[in-house]
Amino acid sequence: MFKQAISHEVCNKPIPEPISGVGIGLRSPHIHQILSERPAIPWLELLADNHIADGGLIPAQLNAICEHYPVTLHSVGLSLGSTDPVNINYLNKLKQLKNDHTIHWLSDHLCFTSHNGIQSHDLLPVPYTEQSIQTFVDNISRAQDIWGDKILVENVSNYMSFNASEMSEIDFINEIVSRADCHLLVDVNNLYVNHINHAVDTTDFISKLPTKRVKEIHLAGYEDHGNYILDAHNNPVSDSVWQLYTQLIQILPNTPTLIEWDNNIPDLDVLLNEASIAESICHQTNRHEQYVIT
Amino acid sequence: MSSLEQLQHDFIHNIVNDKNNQGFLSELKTEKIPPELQLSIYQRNLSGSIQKTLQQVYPACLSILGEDFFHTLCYKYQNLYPSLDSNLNNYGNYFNTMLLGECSENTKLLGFEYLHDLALLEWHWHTCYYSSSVITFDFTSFSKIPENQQSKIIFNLNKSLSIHTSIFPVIDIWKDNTIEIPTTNEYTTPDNSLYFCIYQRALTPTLEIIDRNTYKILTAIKDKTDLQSLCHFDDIDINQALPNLLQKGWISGFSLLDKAC
Ligand SMILES: [Fe+2]
Repeated sequence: MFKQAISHEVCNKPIPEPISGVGIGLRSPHIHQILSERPAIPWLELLADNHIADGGLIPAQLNAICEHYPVTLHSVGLSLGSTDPVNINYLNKLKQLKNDHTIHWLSDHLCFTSHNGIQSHDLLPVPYTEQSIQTFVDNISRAQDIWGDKILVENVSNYMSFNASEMSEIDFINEIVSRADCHLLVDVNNLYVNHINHAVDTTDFISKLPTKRVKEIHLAGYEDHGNYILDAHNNPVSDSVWQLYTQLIQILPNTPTLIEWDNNIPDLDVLLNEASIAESICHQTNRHEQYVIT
Repeated sequence: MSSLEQLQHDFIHNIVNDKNNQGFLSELKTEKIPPELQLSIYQRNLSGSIQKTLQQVYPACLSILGEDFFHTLCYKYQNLYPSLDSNLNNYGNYFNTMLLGECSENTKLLGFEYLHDLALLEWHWHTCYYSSSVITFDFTSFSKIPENQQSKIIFNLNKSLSIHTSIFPVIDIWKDNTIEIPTTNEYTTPDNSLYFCIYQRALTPTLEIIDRNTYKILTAIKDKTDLQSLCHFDDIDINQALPNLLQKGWISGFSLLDKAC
């Protein structure tokens, strides 16, 4: 049976303020600037895999980041869709970070990344079948037991379609998050990539989202390869993705949003500018919503 | 094997080995992106990540071998040594072993026998950069060891320290090939073997040339030689050498019998 969140009394930590606003993914080229200038960023997302092995932030930097900013963890190694058993050692390392710092939540992806120990270093899709759903549900439940709280799972960009698939992506996602009783992270760029590459119906996807379970939104840029687009995280957010975000934020007002940029990483100001565009979309949408209600 | 397990097995193997297995391709829908392209997008993602990783770890090898040949070797490496760690920072440690084999088999690499030692240097420089441990030697516990137990002391080397020897001038080759300006320097083999170590000092990787005796002591410590045996090494005064090794932080701890300290 899934255990609810470990109480904060047990951890002896104060309950952190809820996260809100538009944050950015913390990347190594910006660490020194962020630590020295302490720019006003509502929250930061750390790539968990960089900090559970040698090579992450040095402890003093990690402590300073966690003391000054609300922080979430984003991992790529849980391989939640894999038929391999959940990697307990990996999860325990993530848990250690949570024990040592104030971490608001952990997110990973609706995909598998490894099989039989061999790593793909990519987010690999699975067919949308009952067998895949059950695999995700079992693994997410196990991960939540160890993590001690609900985790967020993210929709992935997909370049492969399986004959075996029996349902749409959004029906597949809904079934998993409902049966695993977990939260959802909606990556708008991934949705757009799947729309272009596989004709996923974005309106259907957004209208069927389990809004109460959506706790975070991701925004990123893609790369155009002619006959397909790639979720490359190396560009500004595209106009089409901003439009989808505007649509999404209407049904998910005040959902914490994050700018992801992993390749050809620009100056921090560029990321902060992207964050401010997202902020202004949120404010405009909220103002409009208030006007309509009044 | 369940159908999902089989599919995941085939998917990963087709990506890692860059194969287009027809059985796997027949599982894929023919739509806007044809099945072969669907698979090749993932194949290219992995080989791109591996190339990028190895380029960052081995900049001097890349500069010497040239991009095309280096990428061919990356591709071969990916097939021979699939990644078993989710952190790509830990990928590439057998590259020197592969280069050793390549140098003995590939006529293109005649005269490049130093590549193995150079790759080893680059790997340890990379891992030293990512090494996290800053351990201080516990002098208090050390001073309390009874005299009759002191011969049984086994020292531990700092996790970030690696010890190297080469008959090639690999340090010069490395330095000349890690700057952006191409160099046409001729390299001469040193008269004697070169001894050096790489370690983390103030969180920064540092390379230091050492003498033969220091190399010998560090290697013996690495091999878990006890203090009594170290004291009997010919032409080495361990009492003189130890303070220096401790001061540099190269020795980070000790154990006594089965107790780690
Ligand atoms: Fe994302």
